[in-house]
This record gives sequence, C-alpha cells and structure tokens, in this order.
Amino acid sequence: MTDLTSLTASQIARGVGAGQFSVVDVATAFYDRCTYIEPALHSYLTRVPQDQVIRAAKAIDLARAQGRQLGPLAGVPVGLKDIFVTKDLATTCGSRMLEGWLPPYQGTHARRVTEAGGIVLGKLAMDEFAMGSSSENTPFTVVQNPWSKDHVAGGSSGGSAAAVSARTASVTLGSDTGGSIRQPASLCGVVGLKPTYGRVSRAGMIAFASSLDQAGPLGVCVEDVARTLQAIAGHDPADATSLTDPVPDYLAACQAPASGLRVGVDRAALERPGLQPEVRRAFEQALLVLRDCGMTVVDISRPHAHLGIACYYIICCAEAASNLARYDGLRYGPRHGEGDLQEVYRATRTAGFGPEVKRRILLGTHVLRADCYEEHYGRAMRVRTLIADDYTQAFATCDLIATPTSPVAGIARASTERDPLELYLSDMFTVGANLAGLPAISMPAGFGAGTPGLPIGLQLIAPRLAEPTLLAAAQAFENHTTWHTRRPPEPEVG
Amino acid sequence: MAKLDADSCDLLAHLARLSLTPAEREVFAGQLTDILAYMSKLKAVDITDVPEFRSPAPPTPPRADKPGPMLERARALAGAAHVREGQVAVPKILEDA
Repeated sequence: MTDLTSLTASQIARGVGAGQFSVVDVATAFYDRCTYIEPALHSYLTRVPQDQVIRAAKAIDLARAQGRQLGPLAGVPVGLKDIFVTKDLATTCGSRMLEGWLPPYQGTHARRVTEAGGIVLGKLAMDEFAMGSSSENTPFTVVQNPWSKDHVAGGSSGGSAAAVSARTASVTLGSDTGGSIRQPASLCGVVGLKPTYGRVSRAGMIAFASSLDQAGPLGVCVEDVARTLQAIAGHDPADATSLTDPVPDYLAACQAPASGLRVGVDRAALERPGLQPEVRRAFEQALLVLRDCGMTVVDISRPHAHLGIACYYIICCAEAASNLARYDGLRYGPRHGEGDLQEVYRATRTAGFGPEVKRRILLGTHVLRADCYEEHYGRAMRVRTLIADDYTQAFATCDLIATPTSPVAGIARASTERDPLELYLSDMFTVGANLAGLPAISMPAGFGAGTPGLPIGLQLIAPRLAEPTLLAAAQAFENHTTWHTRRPPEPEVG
Repeated sequence: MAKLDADSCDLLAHLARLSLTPAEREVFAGQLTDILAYMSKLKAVDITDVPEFRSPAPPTPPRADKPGPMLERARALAGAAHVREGQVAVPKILEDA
C-alpha cells in the first residue's frame, strides 16, 4: 500500500475526492509518523490530540459521502506555525510569555484551513515571536533540520519547513517578516511562498512587525503551495490591511505558460560578501534551467539593495518594540512580580522574553526615541521608499527577479551564543520583498557539496499581486528539475 | 558612530519595562553598538525629497458599523492570571480618596 505521508497535498486532495482512500487513513498515517519521529525532529510545539484529529477527518469523509463539495485542502494534514491563534489549542509564539495560553478565538488562518477541508495536526516550532533565522531563539526544544541533525532548520518558520520536509505535515503555514518562510524552506529543501503584503489576512497572526508580516504556505511542490494559498488568500474584514482584490485561480496559474517571461538578475548583488560559492554555482545553474524553460534572463540594477538589511532591522525592531508593548502579564499569559503595576510589567516582561526579543525591543526603543527618530527610523522609512522604487524600475524591464534565497547552504547549530549581526546578514536576499510588499517564492535548486549535502534554494520575486506569474515560472522550473523530489534521511529515533 | 553604553542600555530597558542584569547590560551595549554601527550606512544615502514609505495598496473600506457577536466575558477573562468580580485584577494604581 502507498505510504500516504509520501503523497503531495494535491495527490491527497485528489485521492480523497476520488474516494481512493479515506481522510481517516491519511490523518492516521501522518499522526503515527509524527508520533514516531517527533522525539528526534521536534517540529511541533503542540500536537492536536489523536481523537480530535480523527474526528475532523471523519467529518471530511462524511462530507464526501454526502456528495458535498470539498475544499482545496480536503483531507490534507496541515501544521500551523505557533504564531497563528488557534481556539483552545495552546499558542505560545515560541515564547514563555504566552506559555499555557489557550486562545479564546480562532484566527482567520486556522479557520480558513479548516473550512478548506484541512486537518490541523498541531502548532509548529519557531523563533520566539518570529525573531530569528535559525529557530534557536526559543526556550523550547530546537527543531532539527531533517537533512542534518547538526544544522538548524532555519527560521523563524523552522518547524513549518522541517515538518514538510520530514512529512510530519503535508503542508504548513508560516509567517514571513524578512524571509521567515523562504529561508527555512531553502534550508530544508521545500517550497515556501510569501504572498503580496495584504494578500493573506494578518488577523489571528501574532504581530511582530505589522508593515512587513505576511502569512504564507510551505509544501513539497509548487502546486501544494498554490493550493494552500488558494485556501487562505482573500479579504478579511478583521484585518484593515488585507486586500480586497479578487483572488485568482492559483492552481490554474501553475499550468500557465512561463515561456517568454523575462527574469531579472542583479549581478552586483551576487558579489556581496557572504554568498557561498556553491550557492552561487547552484544559482547560475538555476538560471540556465529558467532559460531552458523559455524564459529570458536579463540584467537589472537595484542600486539600494545593499541597504536592505540595515533598513529592515531598524523598521522591524521599531515595530516590534511597539507591538510587544502589549505583553504586560495582565490580560493573558503568566504574570510575575509583586508590588506596584510597573513592577509587574517589568518582572513579567523580563521573565517572559528571551535574549533576542529583548535585544530587538531595546534596539526598537532606541530608534524610536524622540531624539533618535529622524536619524534612524525616519531615515530608514525613506530608504525603504528607495528600495521599493528600485523594484518598480526593475520590473519595467523584467517580469520576475531571481536571487539565491539563503546565501549559505546550511547553518550549523550554535554551540555558543551567536553574533546577532552575523545572523541578520543571512537575510540579505529576502528582506527586500518584505520592505516592498512583494510576493516571492523559494524552491529547491540544488544541494551543497558537503556531507551531507544540504539544500539550496532559488528565490523568485514578482510585482505586487503577480502571484500567478510567480507560480507559473516556479512550476516551469520545477517541471525541469528533480531537486524537489529528494527526501531527507529518516531521523535517528530513540 | 553611535555608541550605546551600559547606562544607555539601562535607560532603554526602563522605557521598555525590562530589567537587565549587569552582565546583560554589558553584552547588549556591545551588541547594539555593533548593530547601530552597521546601520549607520544609511547615513550616506541622499534622502532629500524622498518621502517615507507608504504602502501602494489602496485603503480598504471600513467594516460596517453594526452590532455583532463579541467574545463572552468569561472567555475573555480565562487567560488572565488574576480575575476579580468579572474583571482583570491589577495592583492598585490610585491611592484611596
């Protein structure tokens, strides 16, 4: 019998619709696989109890038996990054600050996944409050990269990428503020898509940096992320920044011709320090594949791209310092400290936040001080305009922009405290799309030469709301390669 | 180059309602100084007449102003560490009259 966990989400949804197997069989297969390998992988922070998983599966089986129309994720086991609010299911955002919190409401993402027929398996590991690129910034157990136990899964959506790669979920949702879907997707050898800012609601996604945050899907193939995006995209009255534009047919977009598309490459960006030679080689090979697909590769210039990291970290820390002011220990989460209200605030926040979150709050507080605002935050917001304008001008001569996703093929687990700035610089290719609010996808595009060979990702960036173009090109690339079919070794269990 | 010393870190921590140990003050001061030094590259950019970034998305229409279901009080209070008489209990902030 076919191992149901080896199927893509699209194969599962089609198989369920055709009655080839039951949703209970699918959910049981994934649940049992989780039980077997989670002790080694640690992709989940919280798992939905088995009886609830089976109950949800039976409901989809019943809907099919009654001839009701099934959603795009019918019977597909889904994992949610622990940043997504789930009613009565622990939601920590990877932080002691929310440890034990059972949300009183269902966020838009969990609701839409369920309405589309998805079976939620649990909440996935992440960097605390999505601040990090390794998923090590957490008081909880660090998720492993399925390809190498000595390397991190990336971050901040490390659990979301590792779960897809190791098949403890069929598809997952992550959040991407500066690359947090695409970078772990790259490091774990899966596909990850950050939609246009506002394409997917932020209601029920715990805020980190509100002008940059965007939810998106991860899967083993382009069609799986298109299917999942179909389920979660669209206007949400609960989020004033969610877009009212009609949602296109993303699955149809995957079948659209990509021949003739112009792919822009900023050659100067490839000369920046930090890009590993093997990643550069894989990227050049990927460009040849895009040409084989009938696309044209053209040179572009983005003169302000090298300012992206500095600009991004000022803005995201400023917004984080503001957003995280809400954690005071009063209305939800653990409360610490005795004495007056100020002491409760201090004690709660000091005990609840980890070092990286504190670092970013301090930095954000600094750049927002009245005497520093114009020098740091105000200037960064003007440079952000220049960076966004670079994209606008580049898209006058191309339809997509290609870059490596991560400048490195793997990040070793830290044995001592990391230099925070060094890790920030690993986001060099991803932050631009967030600053400009553009859609971007990462897909498997090779492996490093080391032992083990670790995955390398190709990033494509598209103009605002051009997800269909992005998906067409990504699907064409995938059709011409086999990188996405490779699976990591089974984790050492026991 | 902007430099943050341990005392500056303490001030920021106070503003952010955090407490730092002496060791944390030293470490954060060094790290934040390094990060700010890196970010100072933005100072070389000519931003004359460049406006602050604004999302290109058109404003979305406000929700209709009509009554709807709300979170029940008991559910809203369920996550609070201290509750008294159907309200979140906090340390006293006003002296008795």
